[in-house]
Amino acid sequence: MAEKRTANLEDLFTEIEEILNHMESSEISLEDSFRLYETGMKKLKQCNDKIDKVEKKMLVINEQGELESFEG
Amino acid sequence: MRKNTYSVSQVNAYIKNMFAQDFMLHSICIKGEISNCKYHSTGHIYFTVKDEKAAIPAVMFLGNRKGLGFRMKDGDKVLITGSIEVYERDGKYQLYAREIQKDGEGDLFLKYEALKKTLEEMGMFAREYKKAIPKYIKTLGIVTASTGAAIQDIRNIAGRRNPYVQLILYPAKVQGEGAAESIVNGIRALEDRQVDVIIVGRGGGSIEDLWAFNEEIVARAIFECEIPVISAVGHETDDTIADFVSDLRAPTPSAAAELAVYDVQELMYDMQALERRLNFLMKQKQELTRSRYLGYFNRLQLKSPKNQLNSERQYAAGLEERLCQKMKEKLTESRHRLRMLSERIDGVSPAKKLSQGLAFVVDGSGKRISDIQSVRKGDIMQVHLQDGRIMAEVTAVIPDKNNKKKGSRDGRETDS
Repeated sequence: MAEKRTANLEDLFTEIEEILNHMESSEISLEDSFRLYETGMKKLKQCNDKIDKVEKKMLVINEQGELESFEG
Repeated sequence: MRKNTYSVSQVNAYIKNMFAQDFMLHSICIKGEISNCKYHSTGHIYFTVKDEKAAIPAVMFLGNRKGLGFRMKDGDKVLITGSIEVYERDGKYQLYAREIQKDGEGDLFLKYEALKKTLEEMGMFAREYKKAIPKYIKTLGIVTASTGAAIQDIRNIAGRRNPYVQLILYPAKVQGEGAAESIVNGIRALEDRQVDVIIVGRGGGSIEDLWAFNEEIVARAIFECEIPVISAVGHETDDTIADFVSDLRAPTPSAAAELAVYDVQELMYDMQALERRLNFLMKQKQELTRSRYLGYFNRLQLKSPKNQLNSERQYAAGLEERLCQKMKEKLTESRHRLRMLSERIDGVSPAKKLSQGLAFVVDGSGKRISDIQSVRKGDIMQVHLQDGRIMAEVTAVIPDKNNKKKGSRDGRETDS
């Protein structure tokens, strides 16, 4: 689950890069530009949403195989 | 019956020579335990090598110190390579060490080489099996000792780069009895937790200290782990089997944390940069489209009927103006000519001549008289002057002797 979500962030970046490269080629119409722009901005927002901004305390696996906070 | 006598020096020199000629004593390897170890201020090390039953004094001179890779102390079990020679002055023999190794190290090294060879032949170090380390992780598993610098280094660096990544430590035993099993359990436990990346490692130490990371079960656990593993064992110079088999090898635990945990600040900058580029490209496209539109608009405007009419109208107005201009010029020119002519006419006017004192003479019938041919004595003629006329009677006709062409004279006079 976690892996899938993190992989997404990387994929999203790749997609945004592709969108930018597409926009850089002058051959596309204004309509397409708008559409690409919208998509790019949406994907950027998705990236931002994916970054969990809650600070984490280090956890440790105890002898019972359970997680507890690490007092180091 | 007295035998030959020798001096002490001679005897010692003789014995020294015996030792020197002995091939085995010249290069010998002795196994034993260190005692009375003294690092002298000159750089030489004096010590004794012993086993349960015997001892031999030994020295390692400064010049041979590179043959010693650790700080020797009493109680160390060592293998010493060197020569046994006689110190003539005291009549003692001693061991001159050239190379000192910890006992067991050679064995470990052989075991290490053998396992490395086996695993390499099995393809466990092959690049094809290396998993890519995901760039943006959410959870990081760490297998190392819960005490010691390694976990603190990882924690500090991970926290500095990205405090949002969840660190999960499996507190493993990293050296001594059962260390390898403990490390294997740690890798498995974190694999079960489905972390994104696992760091397996410890700080620096001797080859014995790092040995668990050279055990086959550890190598296999790393190789079989579904989750990418970064190894971080000891210092950069320590090559362990774990380093060869891991998906990525970090020189130190700190470096492993740098490699595993992305910098969230950098990510934010990157995202801002992407946003700026998107905005810029969109704006650029809009401006480009707008300028193309304006270009077409202007060109179309030029071709519109209204514009064409306007230009025709302007042409007509131009023509009109030119016409007027020409007309004006013509008028001025005519006026000018008129003035010239009237001035000329004025110049030849008879009235003017009269005003200059000349007279205009006609006969009785009013016909102009310009010469004397038709004039007879007794004729009546009229003399027109400036302010009136005189009726006169011809009393005589006198031709001018030296003037035959009277008519032309008259004409010249009127011309001038």
